[in-house]
Amino acid sequence: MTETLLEVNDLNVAFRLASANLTVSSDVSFSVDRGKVLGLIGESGSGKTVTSKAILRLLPKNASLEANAIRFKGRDISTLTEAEFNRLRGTELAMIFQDPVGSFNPVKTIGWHFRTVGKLHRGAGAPRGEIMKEAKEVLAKADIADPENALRKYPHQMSGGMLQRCLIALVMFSKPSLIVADEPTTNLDNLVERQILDLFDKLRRETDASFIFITHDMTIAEMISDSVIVMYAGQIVEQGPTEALMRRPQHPYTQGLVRTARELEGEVETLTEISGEIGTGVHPENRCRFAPRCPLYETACDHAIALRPVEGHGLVRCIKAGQGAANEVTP
Amino acid sequence: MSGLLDFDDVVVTFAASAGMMSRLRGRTTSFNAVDHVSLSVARGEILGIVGESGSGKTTICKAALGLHSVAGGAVTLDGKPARLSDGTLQMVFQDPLSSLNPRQTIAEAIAIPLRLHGHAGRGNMAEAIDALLKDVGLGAQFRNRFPHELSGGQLQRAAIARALATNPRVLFADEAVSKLDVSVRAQILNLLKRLRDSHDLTIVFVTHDLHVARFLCDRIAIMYFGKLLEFGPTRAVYADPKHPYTQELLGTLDHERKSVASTRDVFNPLTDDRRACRYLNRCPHAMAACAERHPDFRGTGPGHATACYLYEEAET
Repeated sequence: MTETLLEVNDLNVAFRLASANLTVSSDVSFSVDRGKVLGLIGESGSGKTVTSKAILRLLPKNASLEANAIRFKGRDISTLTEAEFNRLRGTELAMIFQDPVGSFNPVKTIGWHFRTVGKLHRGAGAPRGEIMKEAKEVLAKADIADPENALRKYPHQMSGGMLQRCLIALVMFSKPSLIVADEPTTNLDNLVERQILDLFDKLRRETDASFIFITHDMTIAEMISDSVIVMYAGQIVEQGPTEALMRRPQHPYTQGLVRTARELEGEVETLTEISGEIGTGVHPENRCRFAPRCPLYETACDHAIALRPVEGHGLVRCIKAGQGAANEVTP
Repeated sequence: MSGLLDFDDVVVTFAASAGMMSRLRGRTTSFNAVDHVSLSVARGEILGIVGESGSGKTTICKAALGLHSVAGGAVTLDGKPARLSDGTLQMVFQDPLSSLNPRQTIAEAIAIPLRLHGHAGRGNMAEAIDALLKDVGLGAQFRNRFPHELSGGQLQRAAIARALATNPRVLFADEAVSKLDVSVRAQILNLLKRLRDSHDLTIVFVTHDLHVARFLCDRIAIMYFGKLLEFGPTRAVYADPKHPYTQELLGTLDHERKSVASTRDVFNPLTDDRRACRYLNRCPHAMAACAERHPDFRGTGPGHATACYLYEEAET
């Protein structure tokens, strides 16, 4: 039986700039089930990071957030005071960033980080021996060969891959229910990237934590997630179960991404291009945001397009979705 | 072996900073970022240099361009030492925004190499700039724009146009698509392929992206901690990788297969024995010979060779 852990309803995030208010995330709604992995796919400027940071209230001061509700374990967390929210962040909701080096204090050992987090979440009086024992266990689970030794090291003494493992262990240490991982393998070499993905795969099977896994890479999303959301220019353009979405993507943008990924996995002479680039700044409200790049564009696309359910698929923001075989992407 | 561009036993040495005690003990504090690499690039091909960070893949390109001094060996173009001032070798970098002057318009950035190398004068400068912009798929409306007004893909096109201004014979592209958005990546990859044909270019493409390398490159060279471990036609290397490192690396493409990547320590250039094979620590097939001497190259197929004792040395 699935249980909804997080439910986001009509989330809007805008940045106040000197010249204008810039909406970077509009009417985003989704939910994450307990123990499941949601892949959040998008390019830079698509709003994927902003959306997830909004849930954790990690946005800069000039950002304004509006939401009907953000329900976590059935409770609306969008109305909590800052002090109340602080008790959730880190213990219940956690984030893993792209750059492990920047996530650690460079003049403190790995052990210090575990002690600090341990005291913060278990009270100042928590016995140190117990904290360190648990730290070693969780490091071992993150495939660190010699946890004792790792705890004594400083961040600069470790490789990028080892440090990312330590960061994952540090986050798992507080046993959060929801972990947002923002491109956690983008800065890593191929072999290490594969190891970290395997580690995530292991963790999601061994714990009942849920993950929101942010990536720009279709192939990685396919490997790791149960369901997928594709964002474009601040909107969700398609969402659904991973397998169906990868096999029969319905939105022309998703189709382009999947096709490129499939072509790069096979052998082709020329790659199919999605023409143009994602627009920055203000998007006209009375037009599909993908219209300037869309191969299927017609005048009917010149109004605001709603996200709608398509038979046999998830939700799609395209008037042409569900029109049969023309949408198939053959691998 | 001679191609258009030849790396002959090239060594690039970096000094590493070390603590006072190790300096007093006289421990060596330098290492070879590129360690005796010989490689030949044929005219008109796209050669992919694939490796992880620290493998020396960028360093060897910079050495060819004179951006790093070569401590041993030589880089030759058409059998002669490459002249660095004539623009026959050009480079496109990973981040186009930081490689273009923010205060110069795109036209100004392209005009400088055109003027310096005498490819265009006052009379025909505008046409020459427009022609280059057209070659990379940018309209004339981009002439008077500044870098911050362009998107990532447009910037990379502009950077390529500027590199083409000197009419280069070899273009080095260092991770030229890895900072670009996925939907734009395909555009630039197709563009590079087209330019190779239309401009009689030879391209050395540095990447860690195995999918991109397979799509773009005719031949692949695999580097690891300064050593060249394997090279051969792309199809042969991907279908039948010979070196255990290449096998492990290409194994990451197979999603069904359980990852076999070892978590043992990688080679440390400052403390490990430099005579040994670089991959010794992690290799599942390590033998006594591997610790004594880094293996020489041995042919394993047409144009395909690897530096590994698992294969018989060809009789010559």
